Amino acid sequence: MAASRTKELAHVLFETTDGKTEAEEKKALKQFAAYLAKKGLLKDQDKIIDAYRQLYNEKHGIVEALVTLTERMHETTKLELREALKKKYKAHEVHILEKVDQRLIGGIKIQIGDTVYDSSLQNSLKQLQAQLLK
Amino acid sequence: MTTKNLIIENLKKEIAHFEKGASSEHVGIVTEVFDGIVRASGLSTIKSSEMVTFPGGQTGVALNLDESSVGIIVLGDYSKIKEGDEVKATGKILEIGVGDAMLGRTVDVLGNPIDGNGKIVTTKTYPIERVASGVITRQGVDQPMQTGVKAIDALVPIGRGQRELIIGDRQTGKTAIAIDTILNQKGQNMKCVYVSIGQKDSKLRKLETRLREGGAMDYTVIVSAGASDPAALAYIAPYAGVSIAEYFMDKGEDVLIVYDDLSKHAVAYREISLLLRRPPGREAYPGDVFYLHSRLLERACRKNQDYGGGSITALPIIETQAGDISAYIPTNVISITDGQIFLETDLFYKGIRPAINVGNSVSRVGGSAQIKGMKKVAGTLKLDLAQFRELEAFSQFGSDLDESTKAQLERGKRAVELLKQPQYSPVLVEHQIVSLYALTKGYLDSIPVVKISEFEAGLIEYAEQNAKSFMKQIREKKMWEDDGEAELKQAIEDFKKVFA
Repeated sequence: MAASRTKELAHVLFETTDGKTEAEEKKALKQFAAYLAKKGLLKDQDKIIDAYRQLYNEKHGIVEALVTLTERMHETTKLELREALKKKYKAHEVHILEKVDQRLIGGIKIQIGDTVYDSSLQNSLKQLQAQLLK
Repeated sequence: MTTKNLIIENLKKEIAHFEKGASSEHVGIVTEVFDGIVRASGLSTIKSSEMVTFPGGQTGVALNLDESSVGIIVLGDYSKIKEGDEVKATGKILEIGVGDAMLGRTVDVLGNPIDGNGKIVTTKTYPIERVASGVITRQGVDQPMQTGVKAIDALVPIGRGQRELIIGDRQTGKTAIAIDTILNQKGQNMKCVYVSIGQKDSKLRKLETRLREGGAMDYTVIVSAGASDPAALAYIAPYAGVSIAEYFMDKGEDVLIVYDDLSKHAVAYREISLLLRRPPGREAYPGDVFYLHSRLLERACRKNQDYGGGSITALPIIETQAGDISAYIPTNVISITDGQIFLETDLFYKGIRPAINVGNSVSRVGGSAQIKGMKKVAGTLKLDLAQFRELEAFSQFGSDLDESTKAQLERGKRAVELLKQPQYSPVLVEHQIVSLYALTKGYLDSIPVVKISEFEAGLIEYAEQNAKSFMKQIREKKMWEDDGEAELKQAIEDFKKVFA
């Protein structure tokens, strides 16, 4: 399915559910699902959900950050990070998804959309390698 | 100090300069890989023809920017890239390192050496796609570029800054002309770039050895995208080559660039375009195949003195199928260039080598660049040959010919014989003038056709000894004076006696 079609559908879903009462929302969702089933588009539901989430976040000023560390994040660090990201992205809300990966060795790596901020030890070592090979 | 300690000390020194810092990068995820093309999602801020890197260290170039994905061509081995890999945008438009250190070297499309002679250190980089020099910076072609091939220098002269197409079937000596021309640039203040596109590696090796033996590698760079390299590299190769050439031109030097050959380049671009699902047009080439070559050849130019006075002379090569010059790519390139040298299989097998069809070959701007002396002798030569061709066809039917027709036929035969030339033996322009002078003034009419080349070789040697002031006038003033001419006439007559 063309990417633009997924986006259109996500847009329709957003328009019919956003800011409505729960009953209205449920009704719209049901109709939407029925439409997808009729058109044989249910196989693309993952893509539509992805597109919908992106659209929803965009409209409501929500930033999703994937944070990778070598151990679980401290609560105060999390708070600080959230505030810092809020300021930088002028967002209302920042959702932090945590991920633990030992390959980082140390430091932190934050991914927001397709931008990656990397200050992990792994990255520093890679940079050093590149410089030494020059 | 032991070696171990020395290494550690050096490493410490290197590391001391290292500044580690957080990096911010734009990344995407590979969603599809096929035949050298990668599709990636993400990369929302990427620019057209920006470089990207893959985890395995390969470089790619973003060509198609679609709504939710990016089409990337991989420059190098794409077999190790898999779905889900992270693609990093570099923020740089595709570029190549350029510099004097490249002279004498064979490099790949990204400027990495492939001749096994170690690293090339360059200080400057040039973007591979560059807009051609503007109108204000240019100047008309008025300096000759001597190819050393008699038939070309006399009949289809090439000037510095000109774009002259070499066109012909396979095995008609297209590359041979280009190589002879590069060999002849020794001592002519020229830098040369030879771009090999989709050629066999064995051919390239042979060619490089030949250039090295001829001392031509001192001023030559070879850029190669071989037959086994992916189409993406073949597509980039000529642009990389002309970027290297532009570096020398911007220093005010004259550069000769050979694209061998552009038919394979068009085929590589067709492959990429079809894989990127761009709509095919005539012969399945995409719609912008004309622009592909016109923007490349437009980068050949002659700059005026205010802008350094450098030049790039381009010799693109096109291979035709069964002499069909009305196919898509040949007609395109013929219309872009300032003339063509047309090679024919029939002539080649008749023993007329270089197999140049003088009737179909033209040079639209080279005439004004020809030196005066050559212009004088070549003017009547063209006429002689044209009349000869007409009479030759006519004379096949009857044997009863009048004296003047017979004389013209004999003259023509000698002209054709004189223009023959073995490979790898370029002739100096002053020597060309001597032999053409002898021909057009009728001194060769009494020499048997089979003995022409022997006579010519002897005459040149004799004239070097006995017509010194003629030679000197040509070399310095590009034209002879009356006393020089008289001296040459005397020398030719004397030599004829010696030869008989």
